[in-house]
Amino acid sequence: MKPGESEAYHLCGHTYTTGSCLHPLGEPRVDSRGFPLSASGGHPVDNLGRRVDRRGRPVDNDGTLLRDPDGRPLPPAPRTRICDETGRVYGFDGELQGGWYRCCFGQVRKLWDCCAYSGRRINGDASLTGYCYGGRRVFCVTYYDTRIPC
Amino acid sequence: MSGLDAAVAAVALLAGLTGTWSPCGFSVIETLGPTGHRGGRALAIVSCLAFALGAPLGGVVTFGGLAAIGDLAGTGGRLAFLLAAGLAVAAGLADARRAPIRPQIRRQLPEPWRRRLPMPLTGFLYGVLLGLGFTTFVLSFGLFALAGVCLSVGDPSLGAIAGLAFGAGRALPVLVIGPFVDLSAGIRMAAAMAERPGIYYGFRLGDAGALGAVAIALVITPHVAGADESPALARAEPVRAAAADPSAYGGTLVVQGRRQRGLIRRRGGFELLPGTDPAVGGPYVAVLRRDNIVLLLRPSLREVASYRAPGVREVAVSGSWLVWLTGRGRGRQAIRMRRILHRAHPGRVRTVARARPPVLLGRPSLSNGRVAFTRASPRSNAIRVARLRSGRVKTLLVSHTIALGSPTLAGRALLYVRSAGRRQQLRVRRLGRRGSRTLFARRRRFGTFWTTAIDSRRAYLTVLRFGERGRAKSRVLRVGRR
Repeated sequence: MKPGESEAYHLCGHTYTTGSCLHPLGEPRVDSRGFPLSASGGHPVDNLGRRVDRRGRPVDNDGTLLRDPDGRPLPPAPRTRICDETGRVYGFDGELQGGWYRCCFGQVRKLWDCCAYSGRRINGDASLTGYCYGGRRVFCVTYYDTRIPC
Repeated sequence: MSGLDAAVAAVALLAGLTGTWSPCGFSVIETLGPTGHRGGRALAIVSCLAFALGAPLGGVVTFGGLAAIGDLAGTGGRLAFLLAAGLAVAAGLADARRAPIRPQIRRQLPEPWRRRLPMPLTGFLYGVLLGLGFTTFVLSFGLFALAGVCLSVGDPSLGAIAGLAFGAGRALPVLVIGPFVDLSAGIRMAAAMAERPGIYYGFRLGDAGALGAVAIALVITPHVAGADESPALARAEPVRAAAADPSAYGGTLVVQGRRQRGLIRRRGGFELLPGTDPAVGGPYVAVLRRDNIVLLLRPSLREVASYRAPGVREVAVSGSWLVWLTGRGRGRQAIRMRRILHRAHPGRVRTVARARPPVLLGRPSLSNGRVAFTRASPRSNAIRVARLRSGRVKTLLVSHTIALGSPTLAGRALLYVRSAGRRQQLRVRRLGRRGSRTLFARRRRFGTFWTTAIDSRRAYLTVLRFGERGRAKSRVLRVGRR
């Protein structure tokens, strides 16, 4: 597999077969700190998959605050790093470790591994070292899209 | 540093900086930083420093190499400078308009290195690769323009400046952000780079401005752009056939005629001198008579002094100094000198340089207390300049690939012959300054460029044509300095 504008297993830039980390909307797009973003618009989403504003309050597609019939803003849901959330679900202490950048759809993308001290990966079979270090291995994968053309 | 040097350095620095916005640039910051290994901040700092060593090295290889190729190919003329200026303008416009980079080099760094090699070595090798410029993604048209400028100007020192600046631009963000990319400030900086393309486009705009400055410098700087070399390149007038080894000073020209007899130009013709291998300088004309150097006063040609110089082959003279070459090429050679400020009581003979085969010393040339000569060997050709008072010898030009020879000094001007492949050039440069300009150039079939002479207005050149049994027929040409 040549690097660069690469299309491989289930998401662009990912050259191995490890599955995605658990993401409320499916595709494991995250921000620079590992919190979930919507794959289509890159908007922050909470653990329920709702688009949220900077303060974590749910908003509609236009960014307007969602309110209940009484006009009060809807309560925010938790928003956790998807690596942490996947670790909680599968029972391990996940950590986003080494990343590697590639060119995807004309933009620079970071492929970012959620690593664990585990011989198994999210697919259920044996895990690989990937970009992990310090004895950790790849449990699942995420990605971070920059806005830089390539 | 000239204006062109400064502008090229600015372009290179900014082109290097924009390279950080490539997949490779981002990858390096995170890989060498504490987020890419378990060595902590100390290892991150060492690895980033190793990267900062490798990047300029790669830059010098690429841009210095391109400039060296240009130098070998004999670029650097007016047309080449104008083409380079055009390229810089086109690249600057494209960068200012945020045009997508085409052609793009869709290659990433070898990722396995970071797992298989020690991190500092990985950093160094990544630095070399990114410093090379064209091995991975390109993020600015400035890079292409820079390559074109280095090739067109054909000045290796300019190429080295470009390479060092480009490497510095590559290394700067890695040094600033890399060791701290795990801290909040580092994360914010990396995120700003990734999520605010305006910063990247700002650097491209800066690069566009610097490219404009390069174009201006290429067009308007006369000594750099060689704006005044075209007429001289076109014409050379014959001075005398069957003549060689000219020497010129203050309007007096002497040459060596048949059987090495000295000739001086007078009243539109040439008159015989009382000796062989003549040279002129200061108030004197010097000729050889057996193993003696004889001084004649200009213009009367009255003999005023004679000095014993065993084995003398060539001579150079000024008002205060006498320098001569002894020995044939088959044996030991030496360049010797003595002070002749008081003709009746000359200084003692001292040796400036010695050589034994296969090294050959060339005809010396004397001006302002300096003597220039060639030191040629199968390994390298060098033009050296010695200060006669101190005896300090400095190598002014050296090459392991091209032939350099026949230097002549006149004040601070140095005239010499440069031959690469079938191309030959008569070049002039100023002592203490970088860069030279071509006065006259011809391919070898025109004849072999041989000895030179220069005065304030003209340059002279011996051209050899080889006939049967290697016998040379020589003639002396005159080339205007302006």
